[in-house]
Amino acid sequence: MKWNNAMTPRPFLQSQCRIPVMGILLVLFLVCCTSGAGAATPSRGLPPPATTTPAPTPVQLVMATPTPTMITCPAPCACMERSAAVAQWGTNGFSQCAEQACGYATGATRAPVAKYCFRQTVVTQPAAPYYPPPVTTTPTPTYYQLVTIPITTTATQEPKKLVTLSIPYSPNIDADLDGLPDTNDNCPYSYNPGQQDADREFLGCPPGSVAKMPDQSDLAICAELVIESARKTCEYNAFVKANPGFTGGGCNFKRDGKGDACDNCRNIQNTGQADSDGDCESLKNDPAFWDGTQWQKDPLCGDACDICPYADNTQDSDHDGVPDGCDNCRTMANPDRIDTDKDCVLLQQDPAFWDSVKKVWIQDPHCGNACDTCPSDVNPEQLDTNKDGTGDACSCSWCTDARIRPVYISGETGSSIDIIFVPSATGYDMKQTKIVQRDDYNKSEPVFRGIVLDNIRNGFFKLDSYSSKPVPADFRERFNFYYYWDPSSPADAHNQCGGTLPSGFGTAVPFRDAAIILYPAVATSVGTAAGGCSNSLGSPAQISAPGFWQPTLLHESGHGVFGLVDTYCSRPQIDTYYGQNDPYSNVWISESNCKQSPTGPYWPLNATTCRRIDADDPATPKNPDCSIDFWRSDPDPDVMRDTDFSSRFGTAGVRRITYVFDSYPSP
Amino acid sequence: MKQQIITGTAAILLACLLVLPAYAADGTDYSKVFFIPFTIDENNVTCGQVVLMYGHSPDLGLQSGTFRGEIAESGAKTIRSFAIWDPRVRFGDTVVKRPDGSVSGVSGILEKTDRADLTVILPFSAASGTFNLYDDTGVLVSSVDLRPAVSAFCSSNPKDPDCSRLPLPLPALIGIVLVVIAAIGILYYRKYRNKGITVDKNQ
Repeated sequence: MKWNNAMTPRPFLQSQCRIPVMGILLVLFLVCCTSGAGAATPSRGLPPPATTTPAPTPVQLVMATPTPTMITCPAPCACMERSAAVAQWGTNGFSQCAEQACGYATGATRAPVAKYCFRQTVVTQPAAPYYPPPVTTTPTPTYYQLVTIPITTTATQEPKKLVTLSIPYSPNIDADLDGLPDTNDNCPYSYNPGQQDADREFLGCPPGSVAKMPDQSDLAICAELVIESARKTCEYNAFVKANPGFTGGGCNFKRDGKGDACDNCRNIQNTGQADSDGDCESLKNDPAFWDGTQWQKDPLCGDACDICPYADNTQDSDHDGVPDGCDNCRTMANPDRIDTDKDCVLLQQDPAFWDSVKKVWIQDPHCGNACDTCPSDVNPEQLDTNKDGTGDACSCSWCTDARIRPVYISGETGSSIDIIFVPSATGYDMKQTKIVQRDDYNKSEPVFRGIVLDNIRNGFFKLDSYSSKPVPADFRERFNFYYYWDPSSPADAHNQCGGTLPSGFGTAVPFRDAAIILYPAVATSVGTAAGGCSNSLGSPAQISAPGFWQPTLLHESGHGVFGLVDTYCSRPQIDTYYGQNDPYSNVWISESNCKQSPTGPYWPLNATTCRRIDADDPATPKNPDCSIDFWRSDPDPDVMRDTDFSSRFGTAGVRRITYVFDSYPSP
Repeated sequence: MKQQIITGTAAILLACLLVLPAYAADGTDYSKVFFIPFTIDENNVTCGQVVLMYGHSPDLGLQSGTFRGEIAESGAKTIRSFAIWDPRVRFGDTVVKRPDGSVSGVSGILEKTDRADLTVILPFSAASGTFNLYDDTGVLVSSVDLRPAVSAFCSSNPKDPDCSRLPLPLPALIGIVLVVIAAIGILYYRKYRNKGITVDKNQ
């Protein structure tokens, strides 16, 4: 039968429709693809986008908060309100014994009022002749809006400063609760019962607090502080407009005794002209600032103005206006010096970085956000093992529990040996022969972090130094290290062999191959316990070890991480565990097994070194009466037999360690 | 021509299949572990509540021991077997740093207890049905059904890809189905149209 037109199936689309159909198909395909792509969401663990800290708000309200330190009044002083003292002894008939408050008087209808220690003044001189008191006029209360003015000094590069000038003011309120009504308080919004005002600087207010402006003279004093700085700025005009009572005229700004031409800090009173770092002297070499006799412009080098008062300001590698000595990131301009994760605070514990006397960075700390490889995660060391620009601390997508602090992340969990350190709240007192509470490690995260780093650097990362044969060259990149920080729930390294981990640890850190509880030293006259335990041979394991003795740490890790067996002599299965831990064991159940130990891809053993575990090196005999039916090969001092810094893993030990490295992840 | 069409259609389908993972792989880590708590008291082994939770497991293949763990499918086929250390045995070492800084010799500590807790953490696999624990004599001491833990997890996390019966979003499925239907239609059309033209030419 032949085909003909009648037999030809009717095409479901005419030929002219082909192009539109193909177009529809293409659109469908694109929709399919693009919607798929659109469904993807950013992965966890990505660093958050950089944020900019907003500039200070020019107008703000400040609430002064009292910081009471209660004292007990010494005799013959009595604790009372100032008003009570006035009523009892008259205005000038008493003195205040101490600056600190001794209590607070409260009432149902008033705010708490501070009480102080007062005593009657003993008058021994003849009474002074009576003069009628001067007629005074109570100033009409003036209400000022609290304004903080950002003052921009002459050059745009110079830092901004904030001066807070006025505050709401009422004569019958003791806003700062220091016992003095605002009308009699030289600093009504800051707790200063002593009314210290020796230098008149900021009218007696503690540094950083807000001065009142009760009268025109004080107003003028305050005004002079700002006028000189704000004269050329629009902020000044805005301030005057907002504060119609503020004139500030008639004052000069030479209250610190230095004319501007000689003043190393023109905008802030600094009578002593202190310049701790001596950078004013350096600046005198710059004709743009110093003409040989006087300053041509504000040098801003006195301590009062100095952004880095204790360091040489002439070195500013990134030209961000912050001298290197005070710059938490010298290679990237970061005038704000923001340090979100407070790495810099931690790094100030490290004398290699921070000079705590001079209060300057000795070397670039790289801890400001601009340099920080993980700006939002604690990582003062800025470790970035895989060199991808993202620090290890924020490269751990599996560290979902906030108590896990990644320190060194070389790869994904599963392909690396995950070791997490946990602080112990106990130590062992050898003199009293009992477990004692010790908070050395579990109360200060910087301290414990330092201990962890020490054990990584001088323990695990020196595995090559502790090995008589080469370990894999990249052995450091076979580990991930973390520590677990929950001061409310520390571990106990001593209540059983291997210790007890904090509750909740298991579900928080399911991925760990080894949890190592580090305990602090308890030094006594009879010695310091420095032993350890493991709850298994090979990982996953729970280990206890001293935080101060890396040979023991490596010995216990030999058990718990690498599956090595003790090579010292003790009673088998009574004092310790012996077994032939194939493959690549370091102990055998027979001499023939030792001598015929398979080489595999690793180094062959020297069969002549196979010996009973009782055969101690004659030079260092140990347990001479001990003899057990297990065999070993590695020479002494062996890490699995001795725990001091001269110990080494022998060939058998290194073979096993290398085998374990090569077996991650196991099939 | 026919070959070109087939090749083109196959390419489209392949491209769509390659796109599919984008729906499931939204960047979220859906790794899960079975958390299996055992208590061993004398020779009695009891299992607490098994939990399936998000997380990663430790490496299971490098622990020595006389116990043995076995992950099996629901049909009893063994997926994986590995050694487990007897948790009743812990061993350690006594070391003393003397006041003069020297270190004592090492002596051993072996703690054996009758009662101990053992927590086994397994990586999740949809095929896992049972976990079997064998003691040092090779006797099966506990067989744990893992499926209730999966059900409990899925009731709490219905959108987890391992729980979802429809892993792909509906629009994606519709799009893919349409593309497949269209591709088949084109093939059908091309095939018979070409045959029709041939007939015409013969006439």
